[in-house]
Parts: sequence; C-alpha cells; structure tokens
Amino acid sequence: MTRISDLSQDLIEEILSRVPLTSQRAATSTCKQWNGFYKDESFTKKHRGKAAHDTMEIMVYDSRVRLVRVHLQGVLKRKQGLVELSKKLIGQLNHIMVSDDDGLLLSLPKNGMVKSDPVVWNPYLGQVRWIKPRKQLTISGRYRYCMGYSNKNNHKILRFL
Amino acid sequence: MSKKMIVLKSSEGVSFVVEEAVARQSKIISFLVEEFPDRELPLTNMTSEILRKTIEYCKKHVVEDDGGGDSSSSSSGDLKEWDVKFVAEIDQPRLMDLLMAANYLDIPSLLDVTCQKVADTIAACNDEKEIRATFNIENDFTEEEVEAIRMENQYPI
Repeated sequence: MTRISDLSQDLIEEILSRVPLTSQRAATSTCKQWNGFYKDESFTKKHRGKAAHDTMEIMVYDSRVRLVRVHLQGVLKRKQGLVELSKKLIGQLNHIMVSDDDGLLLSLPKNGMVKSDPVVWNPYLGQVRWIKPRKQLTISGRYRYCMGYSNKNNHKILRFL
Repeated sequence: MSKKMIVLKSSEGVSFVVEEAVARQSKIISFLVEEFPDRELPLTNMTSEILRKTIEYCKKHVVEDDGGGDSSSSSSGDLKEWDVKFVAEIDQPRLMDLLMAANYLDIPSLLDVTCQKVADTIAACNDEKEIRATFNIENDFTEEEVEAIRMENQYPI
C-alpha cells in the first residue's frame, strides 16, 4: 500500500503546491515534513501561483481585513472561501498595501491607537507580525510607505516623504 | 494502414499490446521506442492494475488529441470532465501508485491530474487531524512544537 509519505520529496512538493491557500494552514500543521516545505522559501518561490485558480481578494470591511475567495464563474460557496484575518477589530486601518513580490500585507494603523505599530500579515498562512520600529512611528498622511527586500533578502519597510 | 503496436510488460509479467501513439504520451516510452524498436518494454515497478489504468488514460487522451478539425473548446472541456471522473473513481492507495507511475513514465498531464486530486482531498479536510487520518500520516510534532505553530498562526489580539 503506497502512502503519501512514501512519495519522493519532489512529488509531495508538487501536491502541496496545489493545495489552495485557504487549506495551507491545516497542511502546515500536519507533520514536520509538510511544515518544513511551507517554511522553505525556495518552495514558496518555486511554486507560487500554482494554486492560482484560487482568485483571492483582500476585503476591508468593518475595519477588519478578510481574504475572500472569488469564483469568477459559478456561485460563491458561502463562508467556505472566507478567511478572516483579524477576529476582532484591531483598529482603524490607515493604509493597507500589498507587496508585489510575495503578497504580504502591510497595514499601518492610524495615530492614537492602543497598538500603533505597523502590522504585517501573511494572508496565505494567516500569520501576523507586529513590527517594532526602531523609533516610535508617527503615522501621518505626509509619509508614504512601501515594502520590499533588502539585498540580504530581508523584508524592509521604507518610509518617505 | 495498420497502426504500429508496441508491447509493455507489467511487474507481474503481463503483456499489454498498445498502439505506439498511445504509449508515446509517456516521454520515457517515447525515448525507449526509438532506442529499442520492436522490443517488449518491461515496466518492472508497475503492477498490471496500474499499467492498465495508465494505458486507459493515455488512450483517452490520444483519441482526443488527434480529433482533427473539431477540437473545439467543448471537447477539451469534456476531456477535463473525463479526467476528473477518472481520478475520482480511484481509491487513495492506487491514486498514489498512479501518481508515481505518471512520474516514472513522465506523463505530465497525468501527473498533473493525480497531484491535483490529492491536493483537493487535502483541501476537503477540515483540519490537520482529518488530513492525518485521511492519509495515514503520523503526527510527529512534540507538544512544544504544536504550541509554537499555534502561536505562529494566532490571530492578533
């Protein structure tokens, strides 16, 4: 009896790269091997877009950010394609931007909030990181922000006037 | 004009006589046919059952491919539907075998549909426990690791 764990690494990669984004969270928690794949940057880069038949939209509604699956043909199955990124209202979001390179979401909260640090979301995995800036950020409409990579492949957030 | 036939032999030693055009959808067989014409090709790691399934797939696809003038979009849609039905009828262990066969024989379209079917099965599971149960995967995480993953995946606040 052939089991999925009997398959070669390449074949497991081929399969996992086709798992739709909304199920990837369960897949990462299945076993160490699968978890390793999703953590491996080369896997993500190599296979990005294979699950592309899943058209995902970012929806900001009621100050919550949601990732919504969009079916261009056929009827949207209710709830099934909805990933709620923030369960509770996390504050008035000022800017939301999406990094072209890897689809990460950067959101900068408005001033005067309890937690006013920028937040980066990975909508694929539903992971969230609060970013601690070196200096307290004064969020103001005067600045523009963008997200990208440094030459060491680290994420950087750039602020400019 | 009679079509050229070749013979494929399964691990149990059963011979399958197949039209060359059908078998040539496998890049490996295509290569072997050119290197060793008029020779029986032994596929020692494929059971008769899996070889029969693979041939069934190739036959369907070769017929559709040389359909000639009326290769309209509906026929490619029908073929897709046929593919979905084809993999839906196979149980999981055999699907894994078929996936390995597609990989071994280098039949990209069959590899694609079988991988997609497994991915869809994963997607149909509600959580990681169901995935493990469906695919008979051992949970090899320690409690600390489970907690670490849970923390990573936590929603804000």
